[in-house]
Amino acid sequence: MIFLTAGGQLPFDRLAALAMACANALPEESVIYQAGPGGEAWFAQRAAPSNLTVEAFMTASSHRALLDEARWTITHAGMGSILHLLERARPMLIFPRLQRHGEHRSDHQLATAQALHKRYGLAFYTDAEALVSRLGDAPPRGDNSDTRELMERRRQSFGRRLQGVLNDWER
Amino acid sequence: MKTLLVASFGGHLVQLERLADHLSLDERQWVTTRPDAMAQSHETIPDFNKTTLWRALPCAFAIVGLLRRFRCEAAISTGAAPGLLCLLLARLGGARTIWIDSVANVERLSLSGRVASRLCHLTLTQWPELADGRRVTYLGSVL
Repeated sequence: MIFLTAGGQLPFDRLAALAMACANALPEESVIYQAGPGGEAWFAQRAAPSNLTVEAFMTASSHRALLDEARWTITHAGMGSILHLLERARPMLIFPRLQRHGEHRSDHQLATAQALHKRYGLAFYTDAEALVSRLGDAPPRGDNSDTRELMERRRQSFGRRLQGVLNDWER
Repeated sequence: MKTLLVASFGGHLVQLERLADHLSLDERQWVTTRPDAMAQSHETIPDFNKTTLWRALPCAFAIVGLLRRFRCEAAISTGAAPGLLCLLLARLGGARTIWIDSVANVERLSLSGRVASRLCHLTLTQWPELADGRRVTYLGSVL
């Protein structure tokens, strides 16, 4: 199963088109697209293949279940999904919204994707065709224990320093 | 400290949950914007953003109500707009307030973060390059 997620804030037409392209390229595999508010509209005038399911929203728990199950997850640089996937060593590809397509007011999702690539080597794509051709590959087998360890250490250190601020205030 | 933890459903909430795992607080009250967003017990407030500002009013009423029930000494938010409103109202009620800008903001603080840096006791970025040594501080990252 391939899971594509556009987040809970905005629709994302190029990701909708990508979901359609995935479903057509991989007819044997189910493709699930979480489209965001108004994101189903793109499909209204188009014939979606039978292996494609589109939902505007889902509950947090069913969203998490799909992240855990998917062979690949494709996310608009959404941090909730990315943190969850990193923690469970699940395969992901990032497809950020871009300003030049009018998908956001700035390229901050691209900047996030670049920063994630730099820190943890996560793959991101701005070109849908290149991303679809990657999906035929088997996802990397997930031992990312280095990543998880580093992330956990960063969180501990962040927590400790923030706790220090709270303790100072309490005195 | 008796602390309010506020974040919109999705990525904002996931970040605050991860950080809160490493804090020891006397008492904590979670606040988010969708009833199904988390398993732990929490309060839900209406969501809004800068394109739906009129919904800030019902959100403010809900926050005032919950601040009456839960008298916090500190309030921490990772965003977005409802979290900022919550910090402002908590500050008016005498609480210490901390804004943590989302780790997604790599190159520039969010608009809410820039407002928070004028109005909260402490504003944190999760990218050291964005700390300015005055209003915006780096203490670490959940990523």
